[in-house]
Amino acid sequence: MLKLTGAILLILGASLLGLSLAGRLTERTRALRAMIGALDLVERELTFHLASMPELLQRVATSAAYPADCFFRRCLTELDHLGEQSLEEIWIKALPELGQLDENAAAVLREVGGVLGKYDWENQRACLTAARVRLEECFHQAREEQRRMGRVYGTLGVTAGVFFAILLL
Amino acid sequence: MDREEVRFFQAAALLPPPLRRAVETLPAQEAVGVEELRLRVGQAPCVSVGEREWSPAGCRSIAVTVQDLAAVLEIATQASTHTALERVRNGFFTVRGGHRIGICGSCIIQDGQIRNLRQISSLAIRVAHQISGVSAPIRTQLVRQGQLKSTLILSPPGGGKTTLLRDLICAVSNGDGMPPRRVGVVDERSELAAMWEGQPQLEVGRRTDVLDACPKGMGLLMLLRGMNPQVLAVDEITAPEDSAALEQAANCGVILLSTAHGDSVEDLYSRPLYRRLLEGNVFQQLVLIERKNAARTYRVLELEAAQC
Repeated sequence: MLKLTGAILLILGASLLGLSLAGRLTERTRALRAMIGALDLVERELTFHLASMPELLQRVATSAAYPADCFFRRCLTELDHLGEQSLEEIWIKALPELGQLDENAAAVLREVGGVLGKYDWENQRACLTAARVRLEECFHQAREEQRRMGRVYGTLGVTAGVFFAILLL
Repeated sequence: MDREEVRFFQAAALLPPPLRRAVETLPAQEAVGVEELRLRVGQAPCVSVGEREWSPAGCRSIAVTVQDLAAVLEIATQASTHTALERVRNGFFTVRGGHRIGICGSCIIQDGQIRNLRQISSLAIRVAHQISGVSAPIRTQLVRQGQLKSTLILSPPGGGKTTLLRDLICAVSNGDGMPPRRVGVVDERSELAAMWEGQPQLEVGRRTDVLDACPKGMGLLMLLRGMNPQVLAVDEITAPEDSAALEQAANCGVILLSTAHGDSVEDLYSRPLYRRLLEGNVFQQLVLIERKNAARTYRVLELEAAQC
C-alpha cells in the first residue's frame, strides 16, 4: 500500500514538474505577446497624443494585457521616485514583472528603457518600432519552442514519473 | 511656511536629492527672496537675488555634474523630453508651479533651425513669483462708461508688462473693480498662466480660458472661433500675423489686452506694426510703465488724447 502511494506521488510529482516547465514556456509567450501589444500602445500614445510619461504609463497600464499591465503599473508607481532613480533604472527594475524572459527579449526591452522619454517622439517611435519587430521574432521563437518543448516537457514528466514508479514497485 | 518659501522649496525639489539637500540649507529668510537657482557644470550650485549671486553654505563643496543637469531635466519633464522639446528650442520651458528652466548647451542645428541642445552646460531655474494687485491703482481709469476698453501696456524690457497684464486678466476675469468678463488668453511662451496638466500655475482668474504654447496669431483666431471670449489677452505682439489677428478680433467687438516693448507713444508710432494697430483704433488706451528708482508707476493714456 505504501509503495503504491509512493508510486502515485512520484508520477504526480514528475508530471507536475513537466507541466510547470511547459507552463513557463506558455507564460513567456504570453508576456512577449502582451509586451508587443503594450509597445504598440506606447507608440500610439507618443505619436498621436505626445503624452507625458506619467500619462503614457497610466494609459498603457490600464489597457495592456497581463503581465504587461503589471509591468507598466510598477513603472508608474516608481515614477514618484524620479531623481533618486532614472526612468531607465525604474524600467529595468520592473522587468521581473514580466516573468522569465529569454536574454534577447530582455536586451530589447532594456534598450527601450534607455530611449524612452529621452528623445523627440520620432526617435522614440523609431526605437519602439524596431523593438517590436525584434520582440515579434522572439515571440515566434518562443511560440515554436513552446509548441515543441511544451509537449516534450509534459510527456517527459509523466513518463519519468511512471518509470520511477515501476522501479519502485 | 509662507507662499514664497513654498515656491522656493518647490523649485528646489526639481534638483536631484544630494543637490536639493544642499540648496535647502539656505536659511528660510533668504530662501523667501530667491529669484533663481543656477547650476553650472563643474561649479557649486548658486542662488541669485537681483544682481547678487552666491553659493549657500551647504553647497560650496559640491561641483555640479553633467549627470546632475540631466537629472534635473528628467525630473522637470517627468521623464518626457518629447513634451518639452519644442520649448527647449526656445531656450526655456515652464514646469509645475510656474517655475521656468532656462537651458544652455551646444545647439544642434538642422535646416537652419535649432533642433535640440546637447552637452547641457548650465541651467537657471527661475522661481515663480506672483505679484498680486499691481493693477489695482489703475483699474478704475481703464473702465469708461462701465466698460473696459482695449488696452496696450507699454514699457521697456523688464518693466513688468507681463506681471501687470496677468494681474489685469485676473481682475477682469474675477470682476475686481470692473464688470466680470470671460477672458481668453493665448500664452505662447507659458509666461502668463504657466499651464501644467490643464491647470494654470499662476493666478489668472475664474473666467479665464488659456490656450497654451500656441502661436499668438493662430491662437487668437482659435479662441475667437471656439471659446466666445469677451476679452482676449496676449503678451508681446511682435509679428504681422499677430497684429492681423488682433485687428480681426477687434472687428468682432472683443476687448483686447496686450503688451509691447517701447519707451513712449512716439516710439510706438515710429514702428509700422504698432502704428497700424493704433491708427486702426484697435486699442483705445495705453498704460505706460515708468520706473523711478526701484518703484514702478503706471500712467493711463487715452489714445485719442495721446495722438494730440
